[in-house]
Amino acid sequence: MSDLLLSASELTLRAPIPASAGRLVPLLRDVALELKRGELCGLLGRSGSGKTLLARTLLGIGKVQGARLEGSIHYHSSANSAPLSLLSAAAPSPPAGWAGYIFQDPVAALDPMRTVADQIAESIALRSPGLSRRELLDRAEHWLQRVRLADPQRCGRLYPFELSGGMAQRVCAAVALAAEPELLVADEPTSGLDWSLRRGLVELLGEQCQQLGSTLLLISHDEQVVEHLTERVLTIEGGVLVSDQDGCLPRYSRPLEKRPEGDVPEHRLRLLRARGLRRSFVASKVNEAPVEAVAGVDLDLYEGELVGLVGESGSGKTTLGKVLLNILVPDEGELCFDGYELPGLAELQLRRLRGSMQYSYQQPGAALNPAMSIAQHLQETAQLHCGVTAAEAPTAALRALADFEMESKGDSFSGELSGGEQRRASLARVLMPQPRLLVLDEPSAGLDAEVKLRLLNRLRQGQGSESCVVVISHELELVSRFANRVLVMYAGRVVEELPPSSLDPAAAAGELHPYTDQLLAASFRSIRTIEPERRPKDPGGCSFRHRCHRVAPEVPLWQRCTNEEPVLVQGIGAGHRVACHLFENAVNLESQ
Amino acid sequence: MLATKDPAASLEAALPSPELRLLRAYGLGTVFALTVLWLAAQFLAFEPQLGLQRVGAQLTPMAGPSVDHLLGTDQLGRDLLLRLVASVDSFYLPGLFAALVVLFLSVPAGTLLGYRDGGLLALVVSFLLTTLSSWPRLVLVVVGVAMFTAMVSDPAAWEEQRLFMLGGLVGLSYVPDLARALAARLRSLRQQSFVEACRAHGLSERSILLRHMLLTNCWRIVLRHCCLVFGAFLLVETSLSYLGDYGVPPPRPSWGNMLAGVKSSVLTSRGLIFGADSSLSDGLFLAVNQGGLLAVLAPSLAIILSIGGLLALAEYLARRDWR
Repeated sequence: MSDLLLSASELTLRAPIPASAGRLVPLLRDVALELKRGELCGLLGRSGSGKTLLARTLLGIGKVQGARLEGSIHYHSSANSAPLSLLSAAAPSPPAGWAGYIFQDPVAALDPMRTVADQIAESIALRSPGLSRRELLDRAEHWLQRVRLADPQRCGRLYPFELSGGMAQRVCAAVALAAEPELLVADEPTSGLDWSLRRGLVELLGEQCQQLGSTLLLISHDEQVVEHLTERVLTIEGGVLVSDQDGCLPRYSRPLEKRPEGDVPEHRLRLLRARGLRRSFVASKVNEAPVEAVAGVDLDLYEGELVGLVGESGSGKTTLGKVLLNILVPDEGELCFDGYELPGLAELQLRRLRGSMQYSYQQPGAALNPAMSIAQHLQETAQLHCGVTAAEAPTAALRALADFEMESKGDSFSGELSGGEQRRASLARVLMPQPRLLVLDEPSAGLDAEVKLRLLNRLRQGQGSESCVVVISHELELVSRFANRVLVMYAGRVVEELPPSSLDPAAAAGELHPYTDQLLAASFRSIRTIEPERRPKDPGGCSFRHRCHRVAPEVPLWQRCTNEEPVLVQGIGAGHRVACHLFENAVNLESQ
Repeated sequence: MLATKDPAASLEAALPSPELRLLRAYGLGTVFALTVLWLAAQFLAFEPQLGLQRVGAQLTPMAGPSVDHLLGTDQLGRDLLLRLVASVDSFYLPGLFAALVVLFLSVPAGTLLGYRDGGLLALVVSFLLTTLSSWPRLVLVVVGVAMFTAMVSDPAAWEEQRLFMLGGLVGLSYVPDLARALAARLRSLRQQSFVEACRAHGLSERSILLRHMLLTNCWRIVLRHCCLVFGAFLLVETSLSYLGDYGVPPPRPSWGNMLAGVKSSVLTSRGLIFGADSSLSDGLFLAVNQGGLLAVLAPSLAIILSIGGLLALAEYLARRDWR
């Protein structure tokens, strides 16, 4: 028995690309690679470098029309010694389910019309045919447990669209793992996950693969993710495998410059004033109470400010971001932007204001019309918000594209772009009108370190003047370096407001809200169970009390925590406000 | 579903498969050929061989192919090829009219039903569409044309108008189909986040609907139905012309009435080909030269190929994986 699983040599893929007018362009060049059984291997590269294409070519999925593939790919079976060529049609094919693939977009990869358990059962049946349906479903439930989804029975009955991003990612992992593949390819499995779940998922994949004795090929642009888990790292650039090494990594990212302290101007103009904002959504199940995604938020945003909004997934960050710009109309509360009361403003006036308040969506391609080219989008924006005539619009669009080094991509459609390019295109679109209030929802997801850095530096340059940027992110490190002020959200409420310098894992216990403590700890701790998002309206009391590690039913304060909802009060030090009864006591004690 | 994130899939979209390319070539070829033939037909209107005017020349009925008559002649001795080409004139413009009727009625109706929910007007339109689609298509067309014919005093003078009436009715019978398809597409587009993003970006409802939804994302549904309607009109026109009463009346040529005139040739040709007294090839030769086999085959093939081509184009538009 050899411990080699898959070997490829002199692999070159040429295909016509839209811009090449039918000419064949090499997309992969002379790739040679060997994967051993049970190995944890990372594949690192920037967006558009050919990571996904290489993995797909190795597994023979997603064939490119008109492409020419040269070289060889061999599958080495553990039982007989002769390797099987995966490229020749005559050779016998490897056993069904030998390879599994976790797709980048988890929800899209699942069949929307079938339940989660059903789809896992299908994978199990691939390896062990002849099981009864009952047994299959039992095993499916077991797999849901193995990927650490709480309440597997309930989860199994859900449909993909009822899952949160993190849950869907785990379900995808379960579907792929249930076939007990010899090779598991995970394509950017962590994109769009909040940072307390990201590391957990990667570790989970590694652990499960080791249990099964499978090889894991982890594709990512994020070197931290790859470095954390894998024993061996392959780096790909422009379709060429540039390095293959154990442990140590080539670094192509420079660290973020540290923001100079105290650069927030003293007398600032208030851009936005929000009081008592509430917004709830109808629950997916008939008899459940509506879910309050934003449950009473007071907020002021000033000119020249960079605000970070953090919290775990499902805490209401995105909804708050949309409500602030009146994209989602608040159910209750006041919202005043630059002197205009937004809810109830005449449509024409609101539309004129839109140029000065822009929102960048979390999914990179979501904001782009799939049937319109990138340049067309930007020309439209130029004419709409920048007072540019139709004749000058193409020039303006090109200039905006050049800012993001996307000049050559103007004629592309969003479907032809990689995730990172889609992100840059949508950013170019929202930055073009030079908005005074800009909300960026997870702006760094899908961007490699270099582009991320350029984007942030560009935002910071613009910040000196009169614009305000709100960054919704799960990357605590990014937020703490970039923002002037950080807001922490839990269960639809802002539970803490703090200067970025306090966002330090080394902070003494008790200086921060218990939730922020947990968030900070979680970014260094490993696997956590995700709770299915169920957040009925809390009739009163602190919504965090059940997870709080500092109060328990035995503590005298518990009575207050159950009955009285905490409000934001002055905390410890300047710029620190916190909504927690523990702090009210502390402050009271101090003042006495 | 994965197309948005997958460079390989978008390459596939950019390069259609051989099967699709065949459909496209056939479909576009048909449209091009019909247009050229229609233009040619405009110059044929005064050609005496067409048999529209009485001429003194001696005509040979059911003649075989010759240098004078490349496809031979029909039962009255008129040139088959000329009549075949001139027939395009009787359905080309009315067919386009049918497509225009669908376009101009369905797009507003579909938008009304799909872009927003509810409203009294939407209810009325939806009711009208249901009423319209509950009529069998051919009955609607025939009854409409019969009423028209009964109303005008001199049907012969209103021939051209009757063809356009026919086109209008065929178009009308397809309005519910396109309106519903368009409404369904708009309803699904409306849910997509790029529409919300456009609104958040500050675009007006008008440009969201016109530019982002109809022009970029719906045009091929509309074009596809226009092809279908054109094909359907061709079918209805040739059927009615064959049956006699409401189609194109002789002596004006139509593929339908050309076939009707040579009905008996089918039997004659069969007798000649499979007759006991000669070999198969001799029989075929006789059938072509004396039995009028070409007079049957030529219009039949013209009908089959044209309708097939239009359906192929519609199929291409439906199956091509557009971005």
